[in-house]
Parts: sequence; C-alpha cells; structure tokens
Amino acid sequence: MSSSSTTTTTTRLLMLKASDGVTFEVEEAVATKLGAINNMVEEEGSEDLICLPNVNGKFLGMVLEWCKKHANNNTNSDKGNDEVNKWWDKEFVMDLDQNTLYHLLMAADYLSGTELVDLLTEKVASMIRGKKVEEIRETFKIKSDFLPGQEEEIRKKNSWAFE
Amino acid sequence: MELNNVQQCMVQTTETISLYRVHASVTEFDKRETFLLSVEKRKKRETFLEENPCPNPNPIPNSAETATMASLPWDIIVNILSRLSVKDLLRYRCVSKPLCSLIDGPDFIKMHLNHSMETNSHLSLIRADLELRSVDLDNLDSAVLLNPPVNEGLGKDIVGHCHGLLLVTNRDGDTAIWNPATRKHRKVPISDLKENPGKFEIGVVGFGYDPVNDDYKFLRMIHYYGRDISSFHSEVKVYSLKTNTWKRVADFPYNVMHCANGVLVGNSWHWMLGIQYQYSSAFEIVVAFDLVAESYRKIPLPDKKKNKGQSYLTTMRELGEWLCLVTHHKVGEMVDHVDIFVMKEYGVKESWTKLFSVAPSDVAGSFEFAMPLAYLRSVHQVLFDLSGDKLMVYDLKRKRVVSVKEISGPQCDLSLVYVRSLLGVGGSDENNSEKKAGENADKSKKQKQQPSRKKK
Repeated sequence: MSSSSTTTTTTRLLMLKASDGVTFEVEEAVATKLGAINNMVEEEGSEDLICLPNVNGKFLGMVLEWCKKHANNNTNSDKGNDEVNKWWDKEFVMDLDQNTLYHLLMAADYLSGTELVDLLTEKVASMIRGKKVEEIRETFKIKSDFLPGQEEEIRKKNSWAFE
Repeated sequence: MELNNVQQCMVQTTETISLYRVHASVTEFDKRETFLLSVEKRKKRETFLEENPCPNPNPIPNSAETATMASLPWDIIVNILSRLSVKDLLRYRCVSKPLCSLIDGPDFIKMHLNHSMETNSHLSLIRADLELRSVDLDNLDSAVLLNPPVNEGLGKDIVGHCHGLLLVTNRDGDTAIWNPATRKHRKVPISDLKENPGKFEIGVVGFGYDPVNDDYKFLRMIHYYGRDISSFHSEVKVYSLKTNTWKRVADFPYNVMHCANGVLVGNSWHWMLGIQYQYSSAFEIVVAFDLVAESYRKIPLPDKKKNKGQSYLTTMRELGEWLCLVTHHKVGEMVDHVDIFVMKEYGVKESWTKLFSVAPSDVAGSFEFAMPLAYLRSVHQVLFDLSGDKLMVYDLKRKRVVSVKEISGPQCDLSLVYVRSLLGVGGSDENNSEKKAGENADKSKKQKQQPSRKKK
C-alpha cells in the first residue's frame, strides 16, 4: 500500500517507513507539513529515508493524505481556499470511527502535525461537550479518587454548572 | 488498555515519554527519534508536566489494539479539555482529583484563555439596561440575566474588562472584580483617596492587565480644580488584585475638563479627555496609562477632516488589539456613514489608518449608531452593536456587511464582548454571586420599566 506522488525533477522525494514496514514515497513539501519531518530534513546531510517506528502504515497513510491535501491547497492562493480546506477537513473527520480517530490523533501528535492535531482534538472535544461527570469518567476510564464528601463539596461550589 | 494510573498521575516528563517510545519500538529505533519532540512541543509539555514524574507513562498503543479516549497521552487530553466551555470544566472538576487540580491550575487557565482568544471562541456579549445580561455569541437568543456583585446603588457601570474579568462599580463607589463565567468576584477595598467636599471633581477610572507582574490593576483618580481654573489637583491610586492593596502613583499631568469612555489596548488604559489648554475651551487629547510602568503618555490622534454639511461624533474603542476611533458622520439626525480608524503602529500618528466605513444599506438598514464590539481574527469579521438591539457582522475580506441579527432582550445602552475564562479573582473572599439566584429571577419578572438609552 505504498503511494507515490507525481513529481517534477526538482522536487525532493522522501521515503517514510512505518512501523510495519510499509513505505511511502512523498514530496518533501507534503511531508514537511509535519513538524517532526520538517526538523529532520532541515538537518544538513539528512537522508531521504526516514523511519517512523511508532506509526503504523495505515495511520501514517491517513496523516499523509491530509498533508497532501493541505500542501496542494496552500500552493494556490485562492480566496476560497480556506473554505475548501475547511470543507475537506470536515469530511475528513466526519466518518472516522473512534479507534481510528484516537490512533490518528496520536500519530499526528507524534509527528508534530500541529494543524492536524488541532483538527482532531477539536473533533474529540466536540464529543465530550455538555456531558455528565459520570459520562466523562466512563469515557476516560477514570475512577473517582475523592474521599467521601469531597466530591459533594466541590459540586456545591459550582452547583449552577450542574443544572 | 488499562490506563487509570495515567489519570491518577497528572504528570509525565518529556524524558519518560520519549524513553517509553524508544522501548516500545526497540527494533526500529532510529537516532532521529529524538528530534521528534520539537522544541516547541517540549516546552508545551514541560509547562504542564514538570512536577512529579509519572511512574507509568502512557504508552502509544499498538495499532492492533483498540484505542479509546483513555489511551490518549495526558498532554493531548489537556489539549482537548482546553477547548471546552467554562461551565463544562467547572463540572468536570468533580471527575477526579488530578482533573480538578489541572482545571484549577494557573497554566491550564492560561492555556484555556489563550485558546479561546486565538480561536475567538467562548465569546459572550454583555448588555446593560437596568440589568446586565449575557448573550452567547453563538446563540443570540440565549440571554441570561447576570447578578453583578455590586449593589444597585445609583446605577452600575462596567469600567472595563480584560481576560474575562469585569471591573464593575456603582455610583456609591462600591467596586468589584468579577468573572461572570465562573460567577466569582472580589470586592475592591475602598481606597483612601481623599475626597474634597465642595470642589468639582472628575472621577477617572481604568482597568487592565500587567503581564510583567501577572497582575490585574484598577486605577482610580480624583481630580479637582483649585480656585483658579488653570490650577488643579489630582491624586491617582492603583489597586493590585494580586496584593489586594492600593498604592499611590504619579499624579495625572493634565487639567481634565471632561472625560469620555476609556479603553484598554495592550497594557495601557486610554482616556479621551478634554483638557484645559491655555485658558481656551476644552482641547481633546488621548492619554494612556501604562499598567506595567505606571506612567502616562499622550497618544497622537489623526488629523480631522471635515465634510461639508455633516456633524460628527468620535468615540474611542479597542479593536483587534488596536486603538480605534469610531466616527459617526451625520446629516441632520441621520447617520450618513461611520468611519473606523485604527492606529496600526502603537503611538505613531502616521500609522492611523481607515480600516473601512459602514453606511446604511439594504443589508444594514438604517441605524442610530454602529459601534464595533470585537474583531474576530480567525474569520476576518468585525462585530457591531447596531443601534443597541442588533448584531451586525462586517466581513473585512469581502468589505461588506454580511449579516444583521436581532438580539433578544430590550434595547441596551451598553454592549461589550468578553471572553468567558476560568480566571480566578484570588483571595479567600472569593464569593459565589449565584447565592442570590432566586432573588434575581424575581427581579427579572418585576422589571417592566422602560430601558434607558444613552445617546452615542
């Protein structure tokens, strides 16, 4: 499942190798949307092969798909570009199942893809807005560690927020 | 994944994270791994994770494993939480001790505030007639009656606001720093500024943030004339929220005849003043008080251009961190157009630039006044208070009014946009102004009087 991009002779190509050995050949301009990759290629004498031992091929592929879209859209400075990107981002996160969402988020975070992390954390945040305390405990698998009475005390302090 | 321990231990050091990742991937560890945590990210992590090291860092789950929200590293969870509303966060304090101390922590509070300001989220409109109401900008029908922490007195006033803290005062001098989003406030002790009965006084006030001392300051000036009109006396004191004390600062250097509204821009409070100038009538200037240096500075104004047959009225505002002059040009009683000027380079006269003009149109209709409320940087829009009962959205890119919406509730004489934040007001006298909720609801029913309207 390796993907290659159409290239011109001047574009540097990078090989990104995922934890499961899957390799992606991508243009530098696409891969450097990721802060971590950008840091590496800015190093003098950096190699074209970059191993990413903590990212699985499936999620690396998705991260790169996002990068490619955003790198392409940023090159033509159309006015409506922002909207195109926003629309595309919305579609990108809309149908993600939770497992993929979290894996993708961790991959994006690991690769310092700041904008993608923003997009995905916002998606997760939208899933936990307006919830009850018990629902948050369930979602994050957190057990209350308050002593008896303590929680009640904290609730009382901002009782209006529980209405 | 069994990761409860991660929640119990709020903190991981950068080292433990990267070390763990190395172990988790022994086979293909690459020396470039270490670069994966950029300087910026390191800083971000260290800010939150510098205390106790976590014995069981959160591992990156193997892709074959099912990831849940609980699998996420702590700093991502912090990032997610920083996007939630103040109300949600105050509720989620009850989830666990680590979450409670995170949400109460100064670093998180700042992170939450910065995120809100960068993304123009969690904004509310405050409207005042006889009561104060808060309207969520995302839902203009959401007017909620607020319960300000100062007594009715002879009327309330919001002097200024900064980072979600409002400085409210009444005509009796009762003053408080108030966070309407957390419903917490702190009464400002009465200053010992000497009143001088029998003399004509001008009370001048200001409020803002001093980033050097990480402090919120409230300034109060007593200014009165001597026997001779050109002689005057002023005494200025600054209250610090951090120390909860007043101190005297340099006297005001101008002989103030009248003082219009004040605005906070950057770290300085600005007044538009009429001053006594060589026995002539009042002369208009803008004076800034630097909240860090605690000193005064005169701010240059652009040259006035008069249009034939038009009268105009200039008001000072803050817009997108610029000092802003809003000039209403009128023909007779009708608004012809409104000019929005901003000082792009602080303190430089030549940098005053006309940002745009608004005129009555098919979209905007005709209006009594249009006052800019906020610049939403992320969408390049300026919000306007239109005649006190509508919210107008002006698109800076398309250079036109894109929408006008009715705001629920009566026409108001004051509107401002503030960001809902978690900022505390400190001290043990931090009170919950919600105590009088019942009383408040009562009041709203009774209140049938005509709302007062101030001419702009």
